[in-house]
Amino acid sequence: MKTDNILIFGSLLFTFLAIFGSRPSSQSSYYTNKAIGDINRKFQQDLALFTESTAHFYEIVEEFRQGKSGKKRMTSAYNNLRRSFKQIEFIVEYLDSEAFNKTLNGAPLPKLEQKVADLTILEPKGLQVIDELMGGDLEEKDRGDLSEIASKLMQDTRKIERYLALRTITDRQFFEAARLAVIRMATLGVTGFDTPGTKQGILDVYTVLSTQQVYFELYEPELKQVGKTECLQRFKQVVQIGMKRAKDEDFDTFNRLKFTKEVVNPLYALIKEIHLGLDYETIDEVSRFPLAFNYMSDHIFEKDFLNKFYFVSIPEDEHFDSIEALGKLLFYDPVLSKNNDMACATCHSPDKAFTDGLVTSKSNSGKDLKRNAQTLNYAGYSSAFFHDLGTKRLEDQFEHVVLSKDEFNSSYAEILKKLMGSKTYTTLFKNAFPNQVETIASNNVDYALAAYVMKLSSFDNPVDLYFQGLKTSLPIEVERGYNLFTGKANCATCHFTPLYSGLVPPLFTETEAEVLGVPNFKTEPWVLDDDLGRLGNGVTQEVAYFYEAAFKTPTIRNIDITAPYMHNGVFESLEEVMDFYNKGGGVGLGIKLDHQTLSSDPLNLTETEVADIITFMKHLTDKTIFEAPSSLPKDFEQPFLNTRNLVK
Amino acid sequence: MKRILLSITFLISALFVRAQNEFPSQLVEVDWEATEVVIPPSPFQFQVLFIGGEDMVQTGVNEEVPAKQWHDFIGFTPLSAEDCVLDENAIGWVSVNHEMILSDDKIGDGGGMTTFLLGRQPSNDELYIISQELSDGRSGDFFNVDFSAVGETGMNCGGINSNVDGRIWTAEEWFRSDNESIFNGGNGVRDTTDYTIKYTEFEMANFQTIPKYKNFNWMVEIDPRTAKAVRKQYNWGRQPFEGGTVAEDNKTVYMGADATPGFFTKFVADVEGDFTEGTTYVYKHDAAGDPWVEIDNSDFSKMLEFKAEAVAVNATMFNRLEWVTTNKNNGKIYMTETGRDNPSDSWEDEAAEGGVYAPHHIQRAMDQGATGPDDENYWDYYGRVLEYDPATGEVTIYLEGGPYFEESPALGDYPSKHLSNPDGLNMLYVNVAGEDKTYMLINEDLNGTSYGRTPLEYPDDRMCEMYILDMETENPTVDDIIRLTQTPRGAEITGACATKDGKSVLVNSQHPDGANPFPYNNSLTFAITGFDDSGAIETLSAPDFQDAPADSFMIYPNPTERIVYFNKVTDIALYDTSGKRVKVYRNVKSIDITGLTTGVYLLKNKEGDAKKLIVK
Repeated sequence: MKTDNILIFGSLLFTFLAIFGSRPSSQSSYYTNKAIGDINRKFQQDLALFTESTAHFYEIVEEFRQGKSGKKRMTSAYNNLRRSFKQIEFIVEYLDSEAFNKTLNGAPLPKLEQKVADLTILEPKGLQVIDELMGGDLEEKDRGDLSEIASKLMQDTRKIERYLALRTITDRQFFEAARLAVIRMATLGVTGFDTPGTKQGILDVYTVLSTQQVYFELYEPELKQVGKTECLQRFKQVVQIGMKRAKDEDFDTFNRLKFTKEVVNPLYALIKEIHLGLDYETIDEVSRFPLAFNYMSDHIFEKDFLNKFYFVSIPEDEHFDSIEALGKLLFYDPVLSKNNDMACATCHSPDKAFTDGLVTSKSNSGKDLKRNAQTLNYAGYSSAFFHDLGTKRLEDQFEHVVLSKDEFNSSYAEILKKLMGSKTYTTLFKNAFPNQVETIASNNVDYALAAYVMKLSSFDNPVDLYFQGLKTSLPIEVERGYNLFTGKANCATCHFTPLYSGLVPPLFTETEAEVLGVPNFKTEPWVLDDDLGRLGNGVTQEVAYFYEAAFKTPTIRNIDITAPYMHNGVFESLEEVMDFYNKGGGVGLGIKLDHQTLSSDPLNLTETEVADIITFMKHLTDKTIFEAPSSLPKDFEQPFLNTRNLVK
Repeated sequence: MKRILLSITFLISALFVRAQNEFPSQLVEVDWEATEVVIPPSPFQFQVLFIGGEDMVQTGVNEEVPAKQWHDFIGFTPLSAEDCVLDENAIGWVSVNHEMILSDDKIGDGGGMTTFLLGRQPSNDELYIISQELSDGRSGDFFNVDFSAVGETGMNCGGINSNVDGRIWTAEEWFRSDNESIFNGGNGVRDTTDYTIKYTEFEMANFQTIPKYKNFNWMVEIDPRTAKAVRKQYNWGRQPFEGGTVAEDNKTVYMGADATPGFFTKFVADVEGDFTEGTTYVYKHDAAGDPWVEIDNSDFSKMLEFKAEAVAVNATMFNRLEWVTTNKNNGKIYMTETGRDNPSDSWEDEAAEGGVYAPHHIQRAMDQGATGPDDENYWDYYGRVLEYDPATGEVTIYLEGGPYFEESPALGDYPSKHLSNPDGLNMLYVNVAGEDKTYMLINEDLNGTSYGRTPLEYPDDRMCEMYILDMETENPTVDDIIRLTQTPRGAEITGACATKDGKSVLVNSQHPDGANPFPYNNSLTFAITGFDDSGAIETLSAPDFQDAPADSFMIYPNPTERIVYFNKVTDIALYDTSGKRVKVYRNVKSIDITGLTTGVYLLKNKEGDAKKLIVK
């Protein structure tokens, strides 16, 4: 016993000496002698190569434009460009996502210039625009455009290289970037988002995986020192499986479900395992600002992959559960409305995934409101709210309902006055918000309701369970449906995995809206719905023609129980929705609309394919059922309030 | 026996851990030994004064509503001998802009301002808000400024705070070109009927009927004492005004316009303090003789179309001028040119029509290998502070933003030294222990996060910072600016305005990230007090470790509340008392420990040297 203690003490002492005693020989050795030194060198070399290949590509495109070289030569130069791009993409995006999206690989859509005192439209440029052109027929005008965009890419790349050439990254940053590469490949690569014209995202997978392998092999000596080379072996095995799939399959045959399960998820977990195995610091030890996804999660379909606290101002602390419990009561309590007859649950009923089953919701006097009630499940993971993205945080969207004459028709002062009359409520508020002077402050009501909404994400539909390893297989129709949804049918290029919503990967910080050309009625003659959408959302900085009829891309989780569909509830069934998309949206139906963001080309989905997609979507219903509270506080001073009924 | 084996395994693995990583995630607790330098706690005090959406503004007799958000400019109007205020600790009125267009039945549609009276406790220098009863019967703490008499207001961004007597003008910045954009689907200015200008001092403007949107984008004088707008300066031109300053002569006003191109404007009053009559000029650096070219302000159409007039006289074009201020010691004018990433498309048409580029843009473009400021490859990511010297008529770069890292700042000093997209600008005059000091206050408003505008170490950082610069510094660079404070995440830091006594600087945190905890998720006005304390500002700047040997490791200050400086660039890990690694910083010369719980930590650098650090 005593010997044990001495030994333990001795080893502790030795550890201490080992840690404190020796000093690395040279100050700069850290960044040169270890893997990270080679990583930085490799990145700089690859970045220089990419810069060269942009110049080469531009040269060939110019030759092509002048008729001096053929399409074959240009295609080969383009493939070369993509290959060299995919080798540096993950680090560049990690280091400067803004410049990356603005210049190298942003969506091929016009945007408004941010943070300037006017409304300036920035025309799209970068590789996705090039890919669209490369996938087209390259007529005369396209050739000029291609040359211009290729020239810009070359210039912009030079600027980025000039800035990044002076930077070094740390191990932590490398591992984070590598995980972003995996997310990007799984969500934007294999779905065709990245390659809207040529659809060669599967070819990119091969480059992405082989690049990761080369980088991770640099860690072999370090892993050997800690006796963890076995992690690297597993890493390489998974990479090989993925590379084989990428080689053997093409865009239409690629089994994305299997790829996600067998390659994406294990790889994502292994990067963390290697990172932690080497004992390098993680983001949590470096930044006070949490990211939108939790670094500690193992894969993208895990329950806490996304960080729900990223999107709200409610702190993640010991009071959250009390705030949420209070929110749950308020959500079903009509005391929040002027006449004590309407609650949040009036339009967001738990048994319909928090929708109301109506075409558009009903006002407090029974008339039709403008839009369809959205599901609140997973609603918290969003950077903007309402169909028109007019409100930027979850806590704020409730205010609109309170003040609206057609909805609660009330005010915060009125609500607080009523709530103060109930001992139960005042106690609940006091417990939930112990650090404030007032018993109830108006933002407490918002926080409580927001906290309840944050809770409504269970990530336990059959597809989730499959990815989480809690279910061994899925019906073949569901597998086919998933593969179509994330492939040929182009659904996942807007309804991004894992939420199947407009929350854009790989950073998951921004929610998108799309222009689909949704008609006002589902009959001919097709007429565009007159709702202005995002253009009419009242945000001064979001006034642009391309926001007209743009609506938030909602999650399709629980879609089977949230009919009818679209912002105006025009479609009753998933069959109708699929038919609309299959025909190319509004423009495909013949509606005149210049800025539809959905491709107007028909998807050419067969009946079976449509049926498979629908079957897949019907497997997105959560297992967890959220229940309303059994009763409401009935101890209000004003007796008539105690006769109100719980709304379900 | 099993336990012996276990500890041997531990011993071996510990050896490997050392071999692998200089910062193992678990450390054994030891008696941390370190020399400590103890300094008195920071003398600065911090107070939140005015929270948007939360504090109530008095809109009528016994009528109040939550204040608007988007706090921008702050003006301070010191109490004068004529003012009759009961509270003897009153120091002056504060006016805060709301940079927005929002309909509000009570406050008024459009933007607006809020005013309040500030007092200072003599015992501890704390600030407090004094309740007032205004002549129109309103009483309370905060008052919205009534703009109904001047045809409403909107997007109240920067403004002018006269050094001479504290008069206040608000700038209606976001330039509008149709009624639809101010109406904003009924969410903005709802009354968009034509506006007829009446009963103003400006004869050329009276009884002119203009579309409603053209009654916006003027400089508007307000009276913080009555919380009422006084007049729109129809004689200064209709421009996307951001800032301005009144020179010591109380006749000359300099103004900047936030646009690309943005023009530099001057107004010279005929009579001191009367800004209703005088001459209006636009700056043209290459004009023969006087660089100021008159734009006839007796012609209202010229005032309405000021930009076209400026281009027609070939005026000098800048890339988004923001705030303008004066150094009263030497009469020089300073202004922020916040920059725009790729300005070529924004000013090439005006250049073709005769506008001339400011010489520093031509030079910068040349340095970048671009053909000129109209080359699409010309970039202006970081912006700068400009200086105008009335004696020479020249505008030159006073402080160039950065980093691009090729020269300045040194890699190890970044991000504590960097300046991107300066916007708010003001002067602080303060007497510190008998010595008169002048400082420049510089506020960032980032146009983006790319190209190193935010520290790369923190992937989700969108911080705007406020810097302070000692005006005695000759040829200042970003190395000379000292980081004073930063606003909560996502916010623009703006407004920086000193109280007359120099003790406090009032600052606005505008449009912060919704994810910050209350009240930092709202726009708010806060105060930092203590600038008159001797040594206060020095505590903000990096200490001089002088000839510390390269192999030594020195840290300062300790204990600390926020920043710890080192005598060299190194990697740092912090361990808590249980031996757990809680923070790692790479390649730094200082660290900011904001957010750590108070207590004792072990600080260890990559060379293996350890120090005990106390976080207060």
